[in-house]
Amino acid sequence: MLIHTDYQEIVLPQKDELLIFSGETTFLEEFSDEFIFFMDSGSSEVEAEEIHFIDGAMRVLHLGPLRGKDGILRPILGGHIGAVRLCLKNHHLEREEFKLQRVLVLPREINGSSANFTFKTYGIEEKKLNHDYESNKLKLYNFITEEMKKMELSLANCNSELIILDGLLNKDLVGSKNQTILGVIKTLKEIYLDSTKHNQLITIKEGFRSPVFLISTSDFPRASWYLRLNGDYTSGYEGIIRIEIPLELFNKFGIIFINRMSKFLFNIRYLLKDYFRQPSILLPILEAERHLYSLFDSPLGLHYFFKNKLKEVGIESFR
Amino acid sequence: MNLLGRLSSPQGKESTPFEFYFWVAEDRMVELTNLVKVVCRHHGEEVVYYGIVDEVFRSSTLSSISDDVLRFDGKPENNLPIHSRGHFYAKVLVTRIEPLILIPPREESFVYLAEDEDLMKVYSFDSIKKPLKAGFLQNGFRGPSTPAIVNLDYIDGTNGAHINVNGITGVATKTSYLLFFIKSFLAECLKYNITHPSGDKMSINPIIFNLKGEDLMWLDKENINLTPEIVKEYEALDILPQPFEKVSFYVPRRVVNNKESITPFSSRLDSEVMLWSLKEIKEKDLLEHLYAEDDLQDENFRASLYAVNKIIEEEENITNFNSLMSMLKEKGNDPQPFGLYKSSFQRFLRRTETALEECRFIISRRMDSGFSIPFKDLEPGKTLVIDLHNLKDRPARFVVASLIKEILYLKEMDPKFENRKFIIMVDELNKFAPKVGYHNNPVAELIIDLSQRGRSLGVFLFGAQQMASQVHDSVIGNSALRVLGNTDPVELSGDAYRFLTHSQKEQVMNLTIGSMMLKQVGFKQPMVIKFPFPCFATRREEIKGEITDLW
Repeated sequence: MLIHTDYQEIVLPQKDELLIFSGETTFLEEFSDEFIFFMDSGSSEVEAEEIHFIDGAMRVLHLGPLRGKDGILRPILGGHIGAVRLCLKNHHLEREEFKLQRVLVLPREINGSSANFTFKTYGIEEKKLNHDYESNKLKLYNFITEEMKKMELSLANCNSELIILDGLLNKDLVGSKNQTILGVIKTLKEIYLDSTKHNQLITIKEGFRSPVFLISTSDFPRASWYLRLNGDYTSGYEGIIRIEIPLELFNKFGIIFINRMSKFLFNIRYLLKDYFRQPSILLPILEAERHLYSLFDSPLGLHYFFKNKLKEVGIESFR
Repeated sequence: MNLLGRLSSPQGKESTPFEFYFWVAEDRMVELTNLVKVVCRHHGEEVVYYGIVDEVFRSSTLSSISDDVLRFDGKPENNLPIHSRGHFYAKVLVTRIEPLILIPPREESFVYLAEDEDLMKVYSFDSIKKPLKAGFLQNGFRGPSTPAIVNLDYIDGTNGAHINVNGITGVATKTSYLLFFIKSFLAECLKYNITHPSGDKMSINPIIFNLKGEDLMWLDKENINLTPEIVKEYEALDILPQPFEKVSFYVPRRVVNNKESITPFSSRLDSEVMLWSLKEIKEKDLLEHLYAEDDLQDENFRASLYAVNKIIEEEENITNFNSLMSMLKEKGNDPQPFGLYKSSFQRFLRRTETALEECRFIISRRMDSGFSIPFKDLEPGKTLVIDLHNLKDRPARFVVASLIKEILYLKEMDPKFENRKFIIMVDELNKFAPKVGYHNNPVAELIIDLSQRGRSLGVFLFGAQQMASQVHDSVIGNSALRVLGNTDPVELSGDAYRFLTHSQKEQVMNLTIGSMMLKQVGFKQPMVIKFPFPCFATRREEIKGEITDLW
């Protein structure tokens, strides 16, 4: 047997979610001492006939350690990644397009990315990895995450007036097309406000939002704000999401747009008690993840798939 | 083909060779009792599964009701921007696998609505060599239908016999279904005899006991409510939409002011009186049928009965009940009449007086000979209706027992009846063959005997009752075809219905008038059928045309 019969599905914290705020926050709207706005001050409905939601998901397995040329053990990861675009039209949410790919990431150089119909193999140069097994695992995991994000990006390349993306925006997503694109971040790990303001977030009531502020830490400026979908101060940061849009869009549409979108997002919230990551989520994002997980191989199926592939190429895992 | 959805077998809902689940396409409708077909390949071989939808579910994507409450924020008037993405899914009970291989169908296989020739395959109608139309197969309320077929081999005694129908009075249409079934059986006999001019004929005589009102006294009259649509239904089943032909009605006599007469106690002028005298009771050994089972359980009482039976046999000058009772009363004054305890014998006399009084409509005290039903000359295909509705329990049971006994005797002893079949149709079997108290109950013992030996003798019990749980197990167990009309939920919780799934029980509870669930030996699953409205009158008011032969 080449690799362990046991397999482990892993979920690791994703890259760039652990930045710590340093510096002063630039707010893009005025606010009182209360700091908080009720989002629906007469804001009208979102006008777009079709709203698209894009989300990616991945199922990653730790397939076992592989001994490198330098004698160091490093992890092999295999996974199923995918992205899906859902379309909301006439109150009905339907799957419009999806992409799926099995990926095998090896801690060993291979001659470029090998691809066949069923999976892609990526070899990471040993010199890009270190001697720490767990941090190598995270690196490979992040590599897979990046591949998934590329899929999301390719799905955003569509003729849609309004796109809501699960996760952070990046520069590549905001192309030349005349699109309105929002990123919705469900877990608050980055800190963009000073500690007083950040602490004040927990006092946001359900249906209220924070003032809009500028994020300039990334390679493209964004306008962002927090919105509580459910709960109250007793829930802490749970139930609060952060939304970001390109600064360019904010300058174009202004606060009315922020309120309109906040109201819309609040209305499509889904308060799932047993959702494994957060007690509140947007229904389309939940649906998107369900779509993808239903299309993925089961963990066991994936394990045997890669086990056989590794065997075929004669890679022996350390036992 | 009408694609309904795809088979799904996630954890907890795994497929087996006997059942599977499928999800329903958004633009399709699947109903309970829809008949479906699944085609899949196992190791290159095409295998087709047929089945019936046993349950249809609607599921949202939510995990609990509280999620839904949260979604609407507890305010039902709230309108959400996204409608729920629920879905229908259904559970199917497999009725046939072709070719037969006992492995489950594969997940994600296409599931189609059974239509056209597939309908004949779901219950393997296409492989039944001796088919009998039993109504129309229900394929949901909107799916295409086809005549439902049962295997005559399991009705005519070849491999099985007897039908039992259960259901609530007035809702279950038990009697209507049995009569429809008899009509279909008679039509099949007629067809067989025409297509087989040489060789043995299929000859059958239904003997129908009428227990409630005069409901069955108009079988030979056309129903005024017969519409062209109903006529078409009969035609689709190859049954003539006409009332029963060749029917004779036997009724008790009238007794006014204790004066015996031979006038029929019936609205029908053409009905004939059935009357027993001591002569027939002696010849056919029927005396014990006059007594209640409580009395017959007493040994001293039975001793008196044997003694009196012996007297009847031996004393030639005793020709009627009047002369018998005079002699017995005289003897009853002896200290030990016929060597019996005087008190026991006196009790026997009292019971006999009571029985004769209660049975005065069917038993003559003074006549030396009665009016028997002429079974020996019974024309093949003729139907006899025996009217018991005016009779109390004791005389009704006497008549039922007497006639069954006579038919069994004829079948056993008279070579002329070797190829003749009889159908005995009796309602309220719980009264005639109860589950409890059948010991020393002569009529119950006869019906149990009929259920056990009837198949080989060619005498078939078409029985009905409200509660099968109160009928002797042998009667229910020996029925090759069990039919369920709308049945009480408490009744359905009993052991007699363990062959039904939870959903099937719910379906039975909700069967509408004219719908029945059939389970025949050989069928993997019960089938739901609809049968046409009676083409004969079931009430006097329903008789079409001028009434000339009625009071």
